[in-house]
Amino acid sequence: MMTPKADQTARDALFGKLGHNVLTILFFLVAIIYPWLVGLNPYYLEIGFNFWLWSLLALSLNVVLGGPGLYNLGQAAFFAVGAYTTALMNTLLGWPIFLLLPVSMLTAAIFGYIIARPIIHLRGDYLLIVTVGFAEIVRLALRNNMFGITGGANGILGIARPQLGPWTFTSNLDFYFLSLLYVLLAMWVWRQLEHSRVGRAWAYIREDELAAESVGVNTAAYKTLAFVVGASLAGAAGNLYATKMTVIAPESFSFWDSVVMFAIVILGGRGSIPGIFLGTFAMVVLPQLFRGLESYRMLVFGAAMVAMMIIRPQGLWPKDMRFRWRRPLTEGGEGR
Amino acid sequence: MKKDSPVLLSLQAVSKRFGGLKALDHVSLDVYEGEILALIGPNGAGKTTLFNVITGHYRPEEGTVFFAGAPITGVKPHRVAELGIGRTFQNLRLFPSLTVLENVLSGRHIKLKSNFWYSLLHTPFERNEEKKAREIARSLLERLGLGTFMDRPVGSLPYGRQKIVEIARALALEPRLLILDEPAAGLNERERVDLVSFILKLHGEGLSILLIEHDMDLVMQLAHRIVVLDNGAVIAIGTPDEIQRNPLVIEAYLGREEEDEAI
Amino acid sequence: MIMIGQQLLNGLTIGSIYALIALGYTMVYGVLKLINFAHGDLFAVGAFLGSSVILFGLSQAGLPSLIVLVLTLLLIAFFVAVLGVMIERIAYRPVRSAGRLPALVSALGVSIVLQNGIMLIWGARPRAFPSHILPEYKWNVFGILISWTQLGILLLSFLLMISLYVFVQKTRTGAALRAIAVDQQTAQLMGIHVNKLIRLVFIIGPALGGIAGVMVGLYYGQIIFTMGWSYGLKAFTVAILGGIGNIPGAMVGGLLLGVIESLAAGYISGNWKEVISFIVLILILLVRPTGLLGERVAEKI
Repeated sequence: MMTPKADQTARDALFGKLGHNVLTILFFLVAIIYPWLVGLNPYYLEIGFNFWLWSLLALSLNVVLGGPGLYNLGQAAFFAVGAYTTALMNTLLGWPIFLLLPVSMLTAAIFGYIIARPIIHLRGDYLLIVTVGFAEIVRLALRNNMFGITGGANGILGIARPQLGPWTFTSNLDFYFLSLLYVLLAMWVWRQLEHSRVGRAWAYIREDELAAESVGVNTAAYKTLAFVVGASLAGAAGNLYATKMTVIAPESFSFWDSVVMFAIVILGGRGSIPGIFLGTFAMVVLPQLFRGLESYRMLVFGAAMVAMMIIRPQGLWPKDMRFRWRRPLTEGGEGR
Repeated sequence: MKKDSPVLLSLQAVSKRFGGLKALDHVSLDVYEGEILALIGPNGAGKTTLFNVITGHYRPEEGTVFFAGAPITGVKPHRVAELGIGRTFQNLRLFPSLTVLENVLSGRHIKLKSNFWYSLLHTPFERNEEKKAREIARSLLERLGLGTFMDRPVGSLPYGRQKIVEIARALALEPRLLILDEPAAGLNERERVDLVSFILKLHGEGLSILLIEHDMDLVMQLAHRIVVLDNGAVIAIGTPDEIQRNPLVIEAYLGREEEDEAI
Repeated sequence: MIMIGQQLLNGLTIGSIYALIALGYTMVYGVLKLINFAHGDLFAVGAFLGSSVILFGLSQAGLPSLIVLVLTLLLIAFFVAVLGVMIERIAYRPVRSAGRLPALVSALGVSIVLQNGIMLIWGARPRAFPSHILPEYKWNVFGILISWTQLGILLLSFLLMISLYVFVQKTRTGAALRAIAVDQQTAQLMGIHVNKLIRLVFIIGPALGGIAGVMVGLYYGQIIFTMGWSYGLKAFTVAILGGIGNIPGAMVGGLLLGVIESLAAGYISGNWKEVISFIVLILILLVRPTGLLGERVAEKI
């Protein structure tokens, strides 16, 4: 045990602005050399890709959950919309993957708006169950081949690989770096917004919605905006996923996937980017590394989720570690 | 007195029901430009309900609220804030884990123009605007003697200071009318004295103030006029002197308070 | 006409099961403001444990079917209740002071543990439930076929629901339960023991859920380890539909959803059954944001 004072100094060194920058640079340095650290082993590159993909998805949910603090347990729906937009417009119309990135983001954003607008006034858990409902409706609509073009349970095959001039992304290595770029895009979006009028309005809503209203924040509009931005980033993840897999099916966008995204954000610490990376590592990478334990893996996984919440309810790496003071959480004082 | 100044806020026969309970019963009152009006009455008289009707948090079943000549009944709270009404709450409603500065900055939200794209791209306009907003919030805090607390999470401040931050947040809106719900509750003697001089200063700068307060000394010191509410209805309006002498008020309010204290 | 009658009956049967599960969600929500995601899996534990107990009772102990069934229901109610109390103690109580999100994630973790525990013990493939414990005979009432199983499910679930209703409405403890659902702080000030009530809720809810698990096994004759999530989600929908925290609301919501679903399956398509229940939920919440019987409480400011 460190003494409180030494503890504080260590924290300041680690989480002060300088320490933060050093850690960030170190992290991305390791991220860049990772493929060679693992000797270009395809299995580990695949894990690397999954790490970035899930980080991206968690970043997208974080806009809603870490922004205005709305309970959204249906983020997989927007992921699906992005993936199917890319898959359909690529296989049917032949549009290139990179052109479909903004298109997929836009489609998912529009979808996010249409879903969020009528339900945005619902409180906490009512909103949560409606997002679950919407996500299930999307998944079942895709599975039942509602529009006659989504291929039902089999999904869509033969999605193209992305091309940049003469260069085609094909190998695990290519996709590792491509996924890293997508994550950087999402990180940039969050960083920019977080320290702006928009990000602050979200924070006010998260802290006390009624007080936010009383200082003139149009809470319904800002909450909807968070859904739209979050959906567009999930749409980007869909674009990435579709082109990586070249095959997509409705079961990749299930309730379970939404649960994992949700758990990553809470486990890592809402609103915190390092937290999201740690959370993704814990929720996605660790279970894959322990494949050997097979059947007991998920049992341990679930128990670890419980244990983590008991030991560190504020998350592995909460948003601002310098604020050691924690707000007293009153009953029902959250997400009303 | 301000009888000749124009009316800033006007309630006309406003009624609000909660289930079977009539919280407000045809309440009519005016707040004149530049005056300090105190709203008093026993607990449960409907004072806070009245505030919430004004700020749009509750929608009255009957009656109309006018602000600066225009009806604002049923207008959403965030629009009411934009129109120029800043408020505090009976039990503090700050943004507890945000810093003092960020809390006060929230009051500048409506004054800022940066939309989503400006915020995303941090355009020169946005940066400039943000810088100015921070400066305004800072100088407001300096003025209130909270300069040294600026970067601390507001929830870690003592209660009295938090109350001041909440007023500062409302002032950052540059409101035409400031609504204070029991500003002196929970303050110690010194803080009370500071509060009185602060409110008088604000009034000196031309701000109109409507406040609920239980501390009678404070009300008598500050208010130009007093409205007495009992069981959701206005039973008296007048100057502090008139109210102190009004038998109805003594009967309904002061008398009952003694009973309260006896219990 | 006969078809409608048959669909109504089937809907009421499954609806009363939904209602039993939903009661667990709604009661826990009432006292803890927590969506107990593990509740669906407790229900699944009830189904699987029930199948094993029945098989044991019939083959090893050689007891008559009716006695086996009654004993099974009692045993399952007991075991699942014990499990529920344990979960509350281990996974929920320690995170109670930390706000709602950690509790939610903790509940999801428990759900994963239970689901995978079931898979490890009973396997991942669908399992036949010894539903032959009840005779296969069906009565023909004006062309509507009623099986023993349906009759049993309807009678037992209505008996349980009515008892619970009477308990909640007429006893002191029941009044405390209702009070705490409305305002925990005030209830505490009035001398209500919150922890005791929480334990009670984690006895009643899981017991009912476990019984519902056995009922589903008897009714459909097949169970699978993921059933906790699909039924759980639906039962939670029911709880929201009725107004979460509201006990009669869960009962009404369950029956309503069962009937709507079964009519939809009969007249539209089985594939769209789940979707329709969610669409109904969303439509109802758009009109009444706090559910059918949920009170529109003005927030205290």
